[in-house]
Amino acid sequence: MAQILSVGVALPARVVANAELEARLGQPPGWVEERTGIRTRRQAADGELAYHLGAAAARQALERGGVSADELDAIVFSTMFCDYVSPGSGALVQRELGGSRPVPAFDVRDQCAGFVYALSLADALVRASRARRVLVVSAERQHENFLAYEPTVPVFGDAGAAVLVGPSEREGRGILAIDIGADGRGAEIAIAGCENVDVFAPENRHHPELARALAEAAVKPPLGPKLYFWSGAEIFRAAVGTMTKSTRAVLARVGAGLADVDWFLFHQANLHINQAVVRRLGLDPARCPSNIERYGNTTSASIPLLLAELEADGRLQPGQLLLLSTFGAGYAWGTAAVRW
Amino acid sequence: MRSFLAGVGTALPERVVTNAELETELGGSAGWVRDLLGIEERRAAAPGELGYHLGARAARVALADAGVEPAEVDLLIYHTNFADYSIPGSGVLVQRELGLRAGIPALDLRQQCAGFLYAWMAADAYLATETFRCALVVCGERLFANCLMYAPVAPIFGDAGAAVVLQGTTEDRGLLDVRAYTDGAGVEFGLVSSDHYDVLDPSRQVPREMVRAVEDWRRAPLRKRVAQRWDGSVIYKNAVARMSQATREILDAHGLKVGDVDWYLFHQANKGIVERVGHLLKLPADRVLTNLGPYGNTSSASIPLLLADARRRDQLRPGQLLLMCAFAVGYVWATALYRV
Repeated sequence: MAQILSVGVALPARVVANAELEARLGQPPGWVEERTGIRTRRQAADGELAYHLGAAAARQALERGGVSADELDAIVFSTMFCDYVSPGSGALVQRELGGSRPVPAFDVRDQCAGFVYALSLADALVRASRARRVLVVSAERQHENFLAYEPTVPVFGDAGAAVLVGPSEREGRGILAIDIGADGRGAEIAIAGCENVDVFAPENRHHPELARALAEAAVKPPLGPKLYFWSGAEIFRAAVGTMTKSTRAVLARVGAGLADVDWFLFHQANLHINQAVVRRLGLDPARCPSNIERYGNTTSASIPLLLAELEADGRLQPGQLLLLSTFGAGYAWGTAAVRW
Repeated sequence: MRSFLAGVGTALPERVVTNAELETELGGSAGWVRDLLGIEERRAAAPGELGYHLGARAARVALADAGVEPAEVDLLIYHTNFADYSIPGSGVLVQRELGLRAGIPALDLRQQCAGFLYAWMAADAYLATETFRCALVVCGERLFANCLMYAPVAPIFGDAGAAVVLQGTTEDRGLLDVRAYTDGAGVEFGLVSSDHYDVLDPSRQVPREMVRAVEDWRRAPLRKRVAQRWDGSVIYKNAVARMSQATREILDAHGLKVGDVDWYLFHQANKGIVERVGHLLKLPADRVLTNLGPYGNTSSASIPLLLADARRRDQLRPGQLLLMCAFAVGYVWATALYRV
């Protein structure tokens, strides 16, 4: 079995309050918090890229785990909006950490499910004895992208987080089970174009995944040159249904009930999604910590960010059962049961 | 448990772009592209034909070749160099296009030209631990149009899709070993900026790896607002040194001599790199497979394309030993040893 050995985080210094975004959107005070539950989010500085946040979080995870960069066997990097088209930023995290060996750096792109997908790959590498020390790094610099599309302006924040994964050091402790899944029938519900393909070109218009985005853009032109589409209501429905089902499936696999779980760490996409999951499963909200109020949706960094907070304030105790679950664009999702 | 190739498939766009066409556009004497790069022609995706379309077509062929129904696939790994969309990764689109089961994972990786071996390494860990039993690895590359705007790489890249079906076996065949490496010190010698962090905005701080690319862009702006840098001679030297070293390393680790390998499958970046590696390692030239002539550099699709063509020519026989090696910008690189 593989185990999470340590956690690290890195947050940009700048705090952006709702008032600033409400002014930009021409909305009254209180509008953002009511819709999303978010009060503030962090914004990366000029020149501060996702890989910088990721490397800072990774350094902290290494330090807390008492492991040097030279001892690493692999890095699994996850981000949603890449720093560069090519190469992936895993190589830049590797450069920043300065380890002496050229270890593999995987670059995972699975949107808000990125952390659990990356954790699953780290878990497989450790269990298959391909690696003993794997750093999972999730880093997101997304504020500019989402500022260019009205529905997402208030939602997203920047952050870096990392966990160190290695063989379980104590019997029964570690990653007990992971369910990762995808359903491309949801691809058009949350989509963003990129510089590689001109999505406005006539020849690309027949692509089914762009139909709704283009129809919306025809009525309401995007704020920037990029094409976005984001249907919050549909994501909400799919997220609640899938996270509920995936949570039950993973707990069934490890032979545990909902009442056995000490902490439910749900991806912080939207306060209302998590509240609906909590109601649907009949969970005690006190066991479902949240940090979306302060950081917004930090995409693949949100779950390790929660983990770091629970650890820092002493809520996380050895032997506790954790249930991590996330759902995002793609659709792609992931759920893990971890004995801390 | 080790993974073996249950099926291979490829898909090529119809349009053939000859050197003469490019030489007219780029200037230079007739024949220089073939003399310098070993490339005769390359394929270019049709308008509206995206990376995932090529990947999905190849995957259909691979599934038929393996005699596997789409419903039997329980893990999809998608790899591309230049993404179709910022969100989501195209793995979910391949899943939808092929009618794979909803709910299976779609892991999206970005490892540039080393993507196929990185993806195989990930699939192999999942199959070895019996987390999944039937993996579909799909490479969809649509690079030609993007690279065309940057003269130093315009004649190099071609579009292609390739896919393999991987399953587990306990027999003495299949993937004997796979090793992956990263050295981010190479990032600045081959990189492409994205529209997520606009390094060409004069008010922006330019990260150090992008400084030279931005200087180049200011001297000779590209048709799109991306900065690129491709230092051919530095990449050549590193590719030759690291591919030779990695090849020796994996041979030594298994007590093998160069003559014990039946076929060498090197990533087809250009003729010079492949020939130089062969020369340094004293490889018999007739055991080094190539496809640069007809396809150019198809990034992560090049090695599975070599596999497919070797099979079509009936060159692969049970018991034979294959050595695969790919080097890419980042730098990321990988080697693998396979028993047919």
